[in-house]
Amino acid sequence: MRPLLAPRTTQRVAMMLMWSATAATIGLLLFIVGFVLRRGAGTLSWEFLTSNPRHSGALGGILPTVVSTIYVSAAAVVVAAPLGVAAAVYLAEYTNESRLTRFIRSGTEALAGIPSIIFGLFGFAFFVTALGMGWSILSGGLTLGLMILPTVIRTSEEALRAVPGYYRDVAQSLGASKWQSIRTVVLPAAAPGVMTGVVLGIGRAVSETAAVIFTAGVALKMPWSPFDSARTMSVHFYTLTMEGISDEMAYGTASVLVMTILAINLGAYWLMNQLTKRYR
Amino acid sequence: MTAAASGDTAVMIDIHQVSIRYGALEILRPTTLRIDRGTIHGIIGPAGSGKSSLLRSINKLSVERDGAIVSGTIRVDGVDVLSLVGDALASLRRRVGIVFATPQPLPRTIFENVAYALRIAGITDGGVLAGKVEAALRAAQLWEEVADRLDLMAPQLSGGQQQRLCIARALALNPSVVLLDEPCSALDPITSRRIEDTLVSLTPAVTVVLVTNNIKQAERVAHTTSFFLMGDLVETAPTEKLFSAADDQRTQDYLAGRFG
Repeated sequence: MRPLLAPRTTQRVAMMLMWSATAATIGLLLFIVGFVLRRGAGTLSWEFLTSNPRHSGALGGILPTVVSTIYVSAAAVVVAAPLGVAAAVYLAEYTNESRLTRFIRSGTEALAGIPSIIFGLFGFAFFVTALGMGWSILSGGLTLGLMILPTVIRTSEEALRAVPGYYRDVAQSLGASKWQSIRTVVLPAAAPGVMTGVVLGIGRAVSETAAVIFTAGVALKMPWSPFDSARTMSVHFYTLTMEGISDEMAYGTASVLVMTILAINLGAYWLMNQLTKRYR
Repeated sequence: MTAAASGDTAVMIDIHQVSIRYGALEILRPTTLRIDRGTIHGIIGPAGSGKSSLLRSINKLSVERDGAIVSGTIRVDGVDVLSLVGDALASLRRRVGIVFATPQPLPRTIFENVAYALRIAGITDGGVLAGKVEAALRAAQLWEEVADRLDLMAPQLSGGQQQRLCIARALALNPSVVLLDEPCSALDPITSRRIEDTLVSLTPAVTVVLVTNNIKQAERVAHTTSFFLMGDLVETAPTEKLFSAADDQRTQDYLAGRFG
């Protein structure tokens, strides 16, 4: 039977479909970023970034929210990166597939599927109230750390499993202990993948609102200690919009947030390239 | 007196009643084999005959890395390998180098590949490292080709150079035994000959165990050769005798190319 279309035509149609799918994805990204940036452009200035807000953020800048975002995200990474990488090393290097590892893995996946607002409620009940940390950078960072933990574990474990088995054979046959072989050969080779997981986590932490608003609070002032309440950029944006304080300021904040996340992604991409170059 | 308890100093590797299983699958039935100090011992046989597993058991890598269950005793220079763990095992592995089938450089420079074992062993002095790396590269007959580019990433070398680098890496700590698991299976004949020359030059300072699928290679370099078939050691003999007048019909058939 003859095909409906000539092979070359099929090829062309398939190419066109795939090209349009790609174009649609990129287009959507550009549209959203462009939309935010266009509305925020009028507000953006060096002054906006580096001065304190006045009148609940209706005037002035967003400096404390930028600083708070950095602190809370950094705290989240400090919690999630070592814990996540250690868990991944355990899963990938120290256990055979068993009921326990399947349980850990499905638990991790379940954790990844929990809505962020539930993390927020948990953080509020546990860190803020039960442990008495109050609304603070510490509570927010710990909560976000738990939230991004599954991402870090998952990507790190996959990166470790992608390291060829012979690296371990070689290292151990040369007198390295198992841990030495992991530390000196396997982890460096997995570093780009591990980095990707950490960066994805940072991206989620920076942009998270629900989990932060319950745990870090909404105080619009410069935080001076880990126990100070702090308002991140996303929370600031949410407050400005929901309370109808200022649309211009809201979109200005959103623009900074979007550019921060783009910068983190580009930075990570660059770092990954550097690392892969070094270890190839 | 059992072989394992003998104090025969001419014997470097004493394999006594060793069998190897992966779960329920027995891939080597009880095997006894002695390899003399300072010789090259060839191990030949078709794929799946247990050669590589036996080789990887001589430094206990099969147990730790492949999950093999090895029973019997293996003594290297009198040391009971299978009972070793931790630091004692690491210390044995510094005296028993291994080279794998495909060249497997670590993603580091030429220098750092050879220096890896030295650093793990705790050598940090730059001068000592440089001296030992050069000596190892010379012993592996690679020094002339790489002396002026030790900072090159090892994976950028040609396949044959990579494999000689792996030999140099295994020689860095002056081992008394080097195990090779089909070291030329990914190399062309001319490059293979260079590796063979290197192996011959290592003796008698080093005892070499060479697993190979290339029976001609065993004939060229090995002093003694064992023939394995489907989990059994069929026979061991001086290489010349094995190739001219093997006792076992199966050995004769394999060497004549009638199967395998």
